[in-house]
Amino acid sequence: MLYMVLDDFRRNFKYGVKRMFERFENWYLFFCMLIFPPILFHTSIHKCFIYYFSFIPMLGALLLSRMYGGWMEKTLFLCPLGKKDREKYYLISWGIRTASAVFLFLLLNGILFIAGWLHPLAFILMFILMAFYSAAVNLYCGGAKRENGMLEQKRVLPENYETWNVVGQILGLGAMVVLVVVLGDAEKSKITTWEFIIVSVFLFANILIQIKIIKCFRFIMDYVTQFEQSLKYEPKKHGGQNI
Amino acid sequence: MIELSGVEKKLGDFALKDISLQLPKGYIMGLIGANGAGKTTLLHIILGLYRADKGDVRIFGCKPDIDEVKVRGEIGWVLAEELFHSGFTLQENAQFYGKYYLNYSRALFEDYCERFGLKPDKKLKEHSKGEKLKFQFAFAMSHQPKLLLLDEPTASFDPEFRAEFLRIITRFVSDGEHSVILATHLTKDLDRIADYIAMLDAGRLIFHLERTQLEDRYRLVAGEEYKIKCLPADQVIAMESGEYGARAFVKYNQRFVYDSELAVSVPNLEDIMFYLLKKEKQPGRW
Repeated sequence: MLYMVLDDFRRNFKYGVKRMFERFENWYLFFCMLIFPPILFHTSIHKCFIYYFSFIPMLGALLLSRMYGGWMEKTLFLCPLGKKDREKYYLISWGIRTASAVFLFLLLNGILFIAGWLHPLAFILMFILMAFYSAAVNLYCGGAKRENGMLEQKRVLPENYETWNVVGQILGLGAMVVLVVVLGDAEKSKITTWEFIIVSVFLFANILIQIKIIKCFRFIMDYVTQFEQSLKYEPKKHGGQNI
Repeated sequence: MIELSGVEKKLGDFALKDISLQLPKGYIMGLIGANGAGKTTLLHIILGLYRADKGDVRIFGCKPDIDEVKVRGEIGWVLAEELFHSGFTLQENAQFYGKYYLNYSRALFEDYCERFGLKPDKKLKEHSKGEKLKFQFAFAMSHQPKLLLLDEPTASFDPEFRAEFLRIITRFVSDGEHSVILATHLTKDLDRIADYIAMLDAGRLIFHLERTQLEDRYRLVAGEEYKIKCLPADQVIAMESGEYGARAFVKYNQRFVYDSELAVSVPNLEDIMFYLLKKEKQPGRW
């Protein structure tokens, strides 16, 4: 099944990119603009590296979720795959996407840590933040309601899922920025009380929100793996899947 | 092979109501009805994509929404919609999805592609609509199913291929172990090959009969309008009149003797469908 999912990712790469752009929404532009602050604020070269090496994996997690997340082709529903197999497929797909972004984070920030550019506490806290963020954002399934001509419009996911989804993304990136700014300096010998409080508040709030999103996991998995509840979205230029 | 009993399914404003039908092994069932009658919905229920709200659905003795692996592994489908990856070649698509089927055979797939005039190394999006349906059919046959579900495939086929298609599905059921459900508007095809006919209208099953029973059930009577109007009201299902006379679609009664100047003929499926739908839309107009 792992090989099957990886093979599907490879074959679907071009369509994933199309899907990603067709789902382009305003806050992607906002996230992309977060590339510029270190340049604009003349941040030290060390912190620039820490910032970008943290931001890029987070953006990668977001983009992977839009490329491959929350969608199963109708043709796959027509094939003899049981619900347990579809759930396994979904779990492995989610796991690969989550782990890929976290691995990229570890790789990039590991280099900085070994080079002595990253404070150990910052590295650990940023890793925790990244793990929760990647897990939550890759649960993306396109929305809480299903609307199409045949099925009734109904809420199939818990209340406020979409709101927490958006809040989680913004706060996740915000928390990473705070961690980098406050703790990113490897030469820092002592963390002040205020720095500790600010970092703790952001990190704790962020983890709580990501956990809230992750709690929707069962609903989202049922949503994606059952045809009647599944996403009917199809990229406009891709072979459309009609109900 | 297929047993539906009291099946109901609500989808938005549309509902399938009390659908009961059976299809034994070795037979072809034609599923007819106007657009929006519920043919595709019924096929989706048989495929296990929708779960019936009420009633019992059994395919090969199993419930398709519970034993979905076993049921779908034995069903070949041709659906009137864009499926598969349009950017992959036919061969890549077949390999990609064929791996889920126990009995998928690449050699068989290539053989069908050759017979149907398809190029397996050409991308799906470069094929016409008819060719895409031919590909679906080739893929369906390549995993050697027991049941074929075909949703409006023939409308896009050229006449030569349509004849070949009908030959293939007739041969498919000839061993008595396979069955076919063919949902189509082209009732001429069903006149030739169907053993059973089921007609849906607005989610209801109008009838489900053997082809021979249908032929014994209805007649078309044509002649002078005043003579048509003399036919017993309880026999007349629908009537239409024109410049040169009138025509009535009637329930056939062997004991009734028709006026010798009336032309009595056995209606084909198209006439049956037309007049039954006409009656449904205009009840009590005769």
